[in-house]
Amino acid sequence: MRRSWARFAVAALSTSLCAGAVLLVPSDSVRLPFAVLLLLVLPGYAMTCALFTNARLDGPWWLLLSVGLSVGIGILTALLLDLTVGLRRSSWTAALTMVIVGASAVGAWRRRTHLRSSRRMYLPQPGIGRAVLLMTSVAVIGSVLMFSRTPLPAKNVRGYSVLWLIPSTPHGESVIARVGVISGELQTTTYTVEVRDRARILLRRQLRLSPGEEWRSSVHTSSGSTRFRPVVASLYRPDRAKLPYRHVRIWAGERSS
Amino acid sequence: MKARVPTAMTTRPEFGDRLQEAKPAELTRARSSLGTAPALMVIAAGGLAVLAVDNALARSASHTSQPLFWLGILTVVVPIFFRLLSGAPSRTERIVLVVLLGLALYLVKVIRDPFDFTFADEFPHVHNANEIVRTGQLFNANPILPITPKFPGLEGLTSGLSDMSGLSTFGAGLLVIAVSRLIVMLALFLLFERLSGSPRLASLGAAIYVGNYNFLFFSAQFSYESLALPLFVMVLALVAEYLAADRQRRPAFFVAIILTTFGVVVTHHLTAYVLVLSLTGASLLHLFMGRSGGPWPFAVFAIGATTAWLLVVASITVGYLTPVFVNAFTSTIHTLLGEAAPRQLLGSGAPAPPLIERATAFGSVALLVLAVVFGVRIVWRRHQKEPFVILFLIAAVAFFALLGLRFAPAAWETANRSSEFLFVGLAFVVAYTVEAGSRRRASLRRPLLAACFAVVVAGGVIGGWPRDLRLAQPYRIKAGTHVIEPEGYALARWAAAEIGPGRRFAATDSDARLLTVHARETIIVREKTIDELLRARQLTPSQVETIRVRHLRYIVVDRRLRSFNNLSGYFFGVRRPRGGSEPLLPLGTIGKFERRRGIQRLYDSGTTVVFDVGLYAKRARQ
Repeated sequence: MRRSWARFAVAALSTSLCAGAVLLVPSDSVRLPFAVLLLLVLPGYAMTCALFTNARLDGPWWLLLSVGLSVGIGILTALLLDLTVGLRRSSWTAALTMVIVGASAVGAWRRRTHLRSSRRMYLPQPGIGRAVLLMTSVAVIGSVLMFSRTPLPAKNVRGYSVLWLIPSTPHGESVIARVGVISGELQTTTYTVEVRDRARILLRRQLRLSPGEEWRSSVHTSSGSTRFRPVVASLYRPDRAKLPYRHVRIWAGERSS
Repeated sequence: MKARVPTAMTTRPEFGDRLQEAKPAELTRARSSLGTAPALMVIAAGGLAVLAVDNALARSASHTSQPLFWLGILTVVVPIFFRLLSGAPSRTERIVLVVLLGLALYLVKVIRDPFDFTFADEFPHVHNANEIVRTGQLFNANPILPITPKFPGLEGLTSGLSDMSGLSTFGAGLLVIAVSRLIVMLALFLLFERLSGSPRLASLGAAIYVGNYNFLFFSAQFSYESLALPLFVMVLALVAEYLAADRQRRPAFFVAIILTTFGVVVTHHLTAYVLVLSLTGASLLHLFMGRSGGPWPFAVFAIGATTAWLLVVASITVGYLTPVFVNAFTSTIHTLLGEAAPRQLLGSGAPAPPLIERATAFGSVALLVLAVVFGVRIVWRRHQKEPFVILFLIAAVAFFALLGLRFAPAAWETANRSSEFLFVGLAFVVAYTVEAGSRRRASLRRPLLAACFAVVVAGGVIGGWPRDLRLAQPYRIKAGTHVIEPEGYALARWAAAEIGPGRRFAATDSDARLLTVHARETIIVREKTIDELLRARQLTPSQVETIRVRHLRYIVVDRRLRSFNNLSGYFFGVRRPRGGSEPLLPLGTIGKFERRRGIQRLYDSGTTVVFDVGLYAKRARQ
């Protein structure tokens, strides 16, 4: 009996450790394993301990039930949280902690009369050679994933350049607008951006943008004019200085209703 | 009371007894029972490395290699299956290899898309998960696939992991689907072991399951069925154990089954209905075969839970699924009567795959037919009094019957989606044929069976996913010391920053998904009227009416034809080796808006223009 409650104490302690780490540790990479345990392993494990006191489960069944029931408990917990306090880190942690501790307590209580604990599971002990192979495979897979996530050059793709213009105050007599250029080109690119309110040039700027770089500014259209008119922004490339490479247009001068 | 017939389900020792009651020498063997699994892990890792190189070439728009792709895949699967054919591996090794097979094949998809989810069906679920994290509530709106928030199992779990760990939805989603993959492989093994009484058969059956059309990509995506299907198999495994357990142990399984069934019901509609059918079918078979017991309590619970969920939470499921089945039915009838042309198999709407791939795909079906014909006889001889196994026999035969639906244009999706469920039964039956074949000592038998397995797996990949999308597409590329993203992502990020969330957009399919996920816009997409609005060269009164009736504010005219393709529209365009420009819609699609006074042209990337029609619509009303 003492043994079953000792196990409950261990379960409660480890759950508290996971919960504390999830709530308090600022580093995501440190929190991750505790969050995985708290959501995807411990609830199912505790439930399995609570339910299967008489059955002697082997490793695969422990694993399936621990993970599978954790998924089921997680889904049910999400529904209950949605109906009550909402799904937040604190509510998730509290709910899962209660489930794990509660199920562990039930398991400890049910096992209190067992004269012996469930029999030991013998985990495979690979030996040095196999351990080296295991570590090698993990290292290769880790390297593969890191390599896959490394952005690579791609010379044969088509880049793009974006020009945009948005009125900040809609339909006013005097419009303040935001203008911007986004470079999705594969090399540093030179542009000329020009914003006109009819014949009047509101902004003219030479830009030199690296790949992925953005530029933005604000312009103020002609004040005092109520005539409904277009305000046009154009983007030019050095090799075609007269022909707009991109153009956008908003309308100014309309009174707001 | 009828005498209970001893079967594999009742005579097999209780799980766990094997190790616990083994003698010391056997314990020693058990302790080192990983066998060749570590070596096969290294080989599988090598196969993944080959795939990583091939995908890297594809991502950098260099020359890609389908042979390299196949080399990688076959390096992963064939050695494992060859080992499973042998009688030498311990039960532990078999389980490890089965799980390794499932997870290694999952990593194929991860290697293809290591930066973000890019499958069409993943975007709605990413949006749902993001909204749950943002709002703290389930059941938020989803403009792309409104039914998905009604089944929040996957997104609820993923958002919880994301919230607690700090991972992005992408990272959390990858982990959740990896866990699902672990569940399905373990559950398949344990289910088949319970029914057959043989770990060897169980491992072969679980391995054969990876040959189903959707295993490599569709069932690995971040989508609700990817979680529901493993839970479905787990329910079957638990029910099989429940039926074999004595009275003392049944309550534990009862609770586990109820909990897992509930998980299925809340996660995916179709899987829940298939579970209802499976449990009901098993119960009826028990009844017809004069067997006591049966899973009827779970069938009743599944029916009740599914119906309650449908009525209380997800009534739109009826409107969502009814047209699918009605269209599938009518399309099948029309095709059978010759009123409609049959669908082109393998690459409908795309260039047909090379002859060798077509031969492989058809060859895999032929092999499966042959294996089922032999397997049915063996299974019937050994298990004719077991209702669960009879259910699997029915599923195995039904798989081929439903294959014919692939010829009907609107029914192929039904056939495709049913295959991963029916393949559970098929894999079980085929495993008997393979196991019988591998017992003979002739030296060529095992290599021949491994080769057949390779054909089945390859056929599954060929039949289940477009050829030109097996490998990665240019997505996040390095330009100098910078990293740039494709146009669609730039558009979505611009909309998020400059326009704000919740605005009503009309856009092409791929742009719509990006705008929904990355900018939280309300997208009107995949309707005939919207399609006309985007493709037409003239702005007609009916299109103006569409703008007004649908309360559209922004229209994204993306002239790139591939942006209408929700599988390939998310990536950089690639310059063709022999020159030629990317296929574009005519300039008139943009010009029709340009000519209208009051329509604001806010965004221009050359091929994509965003128009603000709010002022125009307002002036039109006045």
